[in-house]
Amino acid sequence: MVELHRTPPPTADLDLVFRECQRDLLRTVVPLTGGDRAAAEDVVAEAFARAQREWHRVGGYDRPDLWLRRVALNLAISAHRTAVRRRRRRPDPPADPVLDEASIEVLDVVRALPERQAQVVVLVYFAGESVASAARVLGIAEPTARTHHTRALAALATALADEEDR
Amino acid sequence: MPTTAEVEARLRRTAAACEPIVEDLLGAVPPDAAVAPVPRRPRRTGWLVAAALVVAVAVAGGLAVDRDEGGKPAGDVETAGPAIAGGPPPTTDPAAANPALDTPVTLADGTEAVLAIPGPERWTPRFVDVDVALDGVEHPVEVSLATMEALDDPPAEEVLSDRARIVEAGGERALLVEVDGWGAVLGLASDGGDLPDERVEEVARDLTFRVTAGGPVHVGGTGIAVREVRTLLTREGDTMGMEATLTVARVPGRPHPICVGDPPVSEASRTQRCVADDVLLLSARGSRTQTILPGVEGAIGATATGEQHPVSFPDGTEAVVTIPGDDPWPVVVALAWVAIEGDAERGVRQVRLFPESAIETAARTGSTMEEVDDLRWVAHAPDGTRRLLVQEGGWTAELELDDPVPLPDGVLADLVRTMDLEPTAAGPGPLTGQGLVVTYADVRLGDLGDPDRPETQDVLGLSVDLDPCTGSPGRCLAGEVRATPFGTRAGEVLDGLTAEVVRPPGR
Repeated sequence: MVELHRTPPPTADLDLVFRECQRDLLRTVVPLTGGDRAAAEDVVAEAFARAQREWHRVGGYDRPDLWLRRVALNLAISAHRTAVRRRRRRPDPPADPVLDEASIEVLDVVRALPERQAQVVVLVYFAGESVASAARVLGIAEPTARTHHTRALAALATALADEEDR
Repeated sequence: MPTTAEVEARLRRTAAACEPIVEDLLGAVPPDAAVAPVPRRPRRTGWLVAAALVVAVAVAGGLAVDRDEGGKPAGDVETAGPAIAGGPPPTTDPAAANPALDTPVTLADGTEAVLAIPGPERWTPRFVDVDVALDGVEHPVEVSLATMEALDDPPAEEVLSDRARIVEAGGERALLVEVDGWGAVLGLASDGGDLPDERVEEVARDLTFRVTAGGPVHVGGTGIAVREVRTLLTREGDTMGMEATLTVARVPGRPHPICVGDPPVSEASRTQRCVADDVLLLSARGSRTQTILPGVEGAIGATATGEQHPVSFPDGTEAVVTIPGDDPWPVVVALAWVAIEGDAERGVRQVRLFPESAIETAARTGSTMEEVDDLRWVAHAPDGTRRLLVQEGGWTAELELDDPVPLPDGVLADLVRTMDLEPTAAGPGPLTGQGLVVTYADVRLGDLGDPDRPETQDVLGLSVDLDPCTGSPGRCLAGEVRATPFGTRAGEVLDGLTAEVVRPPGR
């Protein structure tokens, strides 16, 4: 029998959801900002602000934590692309680098990947997800995530080889 | 070429290298330590844990902030200087060593702000970002604005119009709309997926903004709603790198969400601070910028009030008119006086333009329609007079062919074939045709009322004069645009009208 009148689903506790996913949030955001603390804080603050505005809707989702992680992922990628559009040249390395050169090189090529590939790589290798669970975070089919994963690794191999040749 | 295993190993090593940054941002506080002593810096029990507590309170108790009689958040500490709401007390006092330099900032919603930023370097507004909601698109979309020089005038992959093109920007396809030397760039791959082609065309047509001495303002357009405006400032002398920026952000019409709460999220951040009664959010990038952030003060001036109405006139003029209040003011009719080469008495004929189909326009005069082609008809009225009807984009232009005298056959034939209009969301757009010159253009907004009872109409007439509008009825708004009220409501808003001409006639 079709249920004609749905009772509103219980609203999740934003505080609790945040506590449970804050570490995973940061593990995905920090690499996409190239280790930039300030940028990572900006992204997470903005993700929070959006969660706050939309919680009346998102709080009723089965997995509101996945929504939060997706928003943070997309914000981080968007911020990076905006910054790339505005750079006329590669920025000078910071005087007090947070990450070693090898790590910066890897993060640069990860951030240059097509958006979906970058998302899958960050979730699998930085946030510790499996490809299957990364698919759930992104809201895509598992075979699709596996395809992105395979292509990402191939693209990274080529990009890292090119970097070594320079 | 590294193997897959080697690539994966490098990724995992990099992840391990990032982990200390993650831990640092977490504050090294266990997730369940919800309550902890206030640390020595404005940063509380781990920035993110405190943010969760703030957000939970805000969600549970509404967004009201407990404020004292002065309007500041209760318990706020008075900072040195004039009555400008500040943030937590600075741990250093950069103002003492480096006097603040006033930096005017014009935000993209028209807000005029002044930031007092500790020196010695001066800061300059460099880039503008606007988050917009597009009708039919679930997630906000970011529009980045900069001078065409700063954008390196990217070549077009696809030209959409004389002001819009598809370009490659930052490795992705983007829409670029150019106005007066500034470009608005909008990535076509949004959070929820690629923008549909028809939506891209609509945005390319409808996205508007005005360029002032302070930068682009009044970004918007039909189906485009502004959610947040941000201006990025860089230190004078810095290169185009983004190592050090100070961003000032505003959500039009209300305090910034990150500034709301008790305490607000921003209070626990070392990179963000709220000023100007929580209306403006400052974000610092770069260690030196973070150092001066506590010393920055901000104030805002008056912003334009009322609704902005883009208007496109039949002579090609485009303007943005701000009308006080939030009543709707749809474009209901436009008028054009035209001179036609070869017209027997070189008289001036009237063209009326209606936001309707040709069939509806013909019905006004009880005319029968003689088809010329899919979009053109000659309407024959019961009194024997004729009108040329041209239909385009939801608008119909109606040209009197026999008033004051019949058009010569040759002239008529050319005009029947060539008369055209280019409607936009802002009105009928320019009226063109072989030998046709628009000498006067008029657009009317409001309510035409009952056609049999002229006293019921309530419209605001906006006209473009070729001569400066002096000694004319109504009000001269921008030197070229004159406003004349017809009706009570129109009369009430007349004094508060402002207008800016975005594109002069004859583009």
